[in-house]
Amino acid sequence: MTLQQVIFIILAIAVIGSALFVVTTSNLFRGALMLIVAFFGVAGFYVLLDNGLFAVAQVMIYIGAISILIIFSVMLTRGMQAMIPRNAQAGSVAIAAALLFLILLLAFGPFRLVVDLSGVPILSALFRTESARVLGGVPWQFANREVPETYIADFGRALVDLNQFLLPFLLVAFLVDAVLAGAIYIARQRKPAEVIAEREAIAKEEAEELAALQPQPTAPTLPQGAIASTADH
Amino acid sequence: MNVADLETVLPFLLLATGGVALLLVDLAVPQARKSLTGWLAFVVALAAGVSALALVSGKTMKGFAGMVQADAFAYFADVLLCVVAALVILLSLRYHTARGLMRGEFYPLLLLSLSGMSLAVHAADLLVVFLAIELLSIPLYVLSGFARPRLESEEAALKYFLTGAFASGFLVYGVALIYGASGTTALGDLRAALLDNPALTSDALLMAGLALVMVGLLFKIAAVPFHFWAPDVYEGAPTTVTAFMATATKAAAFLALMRVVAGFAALSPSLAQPFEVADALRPMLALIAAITMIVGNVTALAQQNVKRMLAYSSIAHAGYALAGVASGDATAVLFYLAAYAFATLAAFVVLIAVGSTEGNEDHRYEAYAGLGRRAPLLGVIMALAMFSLIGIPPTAGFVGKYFLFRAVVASDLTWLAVIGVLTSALSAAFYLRVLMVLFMREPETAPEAEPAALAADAPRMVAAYVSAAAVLLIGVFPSAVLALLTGGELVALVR
Repeated sequence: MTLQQVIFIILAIAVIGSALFVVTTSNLFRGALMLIVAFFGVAGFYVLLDNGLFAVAQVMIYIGAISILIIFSVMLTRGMQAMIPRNAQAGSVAIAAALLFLILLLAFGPFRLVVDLSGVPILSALFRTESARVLGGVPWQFANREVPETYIADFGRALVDLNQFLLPFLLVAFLVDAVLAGAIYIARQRKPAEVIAEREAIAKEEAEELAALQPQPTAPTLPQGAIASTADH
Repeated sequence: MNVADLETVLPFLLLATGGVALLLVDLAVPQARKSLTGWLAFVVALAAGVSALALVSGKTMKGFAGMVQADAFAYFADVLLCVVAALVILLSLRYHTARGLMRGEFYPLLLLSLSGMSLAVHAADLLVVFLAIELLSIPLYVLSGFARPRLESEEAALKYFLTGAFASGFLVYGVALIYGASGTTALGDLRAALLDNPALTSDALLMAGLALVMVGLLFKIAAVPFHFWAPDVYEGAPTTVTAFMATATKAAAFLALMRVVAGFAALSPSLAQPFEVADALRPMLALIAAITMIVGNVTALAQQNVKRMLAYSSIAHAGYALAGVASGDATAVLFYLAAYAFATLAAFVVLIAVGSTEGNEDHRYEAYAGLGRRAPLLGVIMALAMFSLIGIPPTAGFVGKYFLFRAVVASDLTWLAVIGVLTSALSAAFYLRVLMVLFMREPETAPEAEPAALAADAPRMVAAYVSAAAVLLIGVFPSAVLALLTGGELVALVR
């Protein structure tokens, strides 16, 4: 066993273990923390695959942004830390996930499956299969090309090269601009007077709507106790 | 920097830089005079439209290393999108003031969304398709929640955002799988790779990628079964935004969808050239088109609210256009989308006129009782719009449906054309109901708005005249639109 394999096994145990903890724990905060461990393990895989760029991106995006976002939303939402979530669908979801995994394994994994639909009346018309079809057994190829030492610099240059990815890069810039403008609009702090005026206008409209919905002005006959109890409070 | 590259996306560049610049300019515009921002946005949209009109030709040009394609279809869509956006801006001026929505951010966001649409119609690369769809969607998420803190508007924004983000996930995952299978994201290269390598045409990875991309795009055009977001979002969003979404977004997403479909045309090599739909995709597209036509029209029949009815109508018309996609005739689809866009816009003019003058934005059928007699002009415009949406001559809708069903029949999908004609006949029931309410029913309560107020706003009336005239002129002179569409030559969606 090489050193690489030892490291891979350690990382795999860490990733699978922490991922299992995330889906089984009832404490959201601890789950979020363990998610960071799982993400770090995946970043470790990228390092093992000799792809530093992906590792850095993994740490920056998944740990730096997504995990922090989850932790923030857990901490900033009142009562969420003490909450004990229950999931009645855990069993069915586990079965569905296992089935999906099996299907993907069949479709893209090393196993081959021969399906002959030509005898089945409706399905053969639907999928237009006159002969048997082979599923799975995708011949994944190894990229035999040597990765150049300067691949991160090449990646950076490709983003600003007119003949490569300049347009998508430009697009992302406009996209970020739109996102920022939109987010600021949505999250903008209003002046209290503005909020009060808006709420009053909405309340007035809702009252009008309610009045429009009940055209017959017959006075509701409340039981005597109902009015008395509102006066008590 | 190569000038020819910039020329291929000139409308996009004008709109995007205009939108970003307007964000800054808007800071200097005082709150009381925000309509100035609107007028500036109007000028930018019009300039982009004129630039596209000037660039129309029969030639097909590629730019940015084959990532974008400039052809007659793209420029036609650019012109359509810019005109629609300019009309929406005209409609928004009074409506937003009346509803307390006159905020400067609206116009830059509208322009940025429009720039995304403009790029989506030029896209020749799946990467650009994805990014353009995002650029058109994200400002729309905000715009549909623009009337916050109104609950229905916030609800619309959140629903649209959550389902839209989910659909984007499908789209980008599909793009990744297609790249994994074929080694390219350029649609032209993909087509060549499929022709060169027949083994690729039955590749599971490629098929899975294609399915995911189709889900993402069908969501954007609100085809059944990916339509559930549309009625709530269309109803909750400010009516100007609804008008923009129902017309422009649909046109842009359809052209992007057709380019992707054309990229996969080589899936079955038996295919005749002018038709760019693979045999493997055709049954799926035809089936979704049929379901969309049926579900959209039948559900619209049951609506009690004109705005919601128009939302289902937009789903139904996505079904018709999708039938055109299945037939592989891009010209018929784009013509139909133009006819549909102007008719729908004309209908929304009436809704916006009501929303701008009545204190309470109420779009139930009863609220429209007698409107056609109080404001005959609006009544006539609504009548034109409804006739066009049904497909009655001499409106644009008739010619659009004629071209569309002719293309569908020509591609051996006669059953689909039959469903289309039958559902069109069905749709008359709910479109004519609007006219019945408008002209033949007495209002329950004394109307709040004076007839003069309904027809008072000059920019709105200009938008009304332009869209009504477009409905009539496209119907009477379809050849002029067709000439613009083809640029005199047969255009290949992907090369």
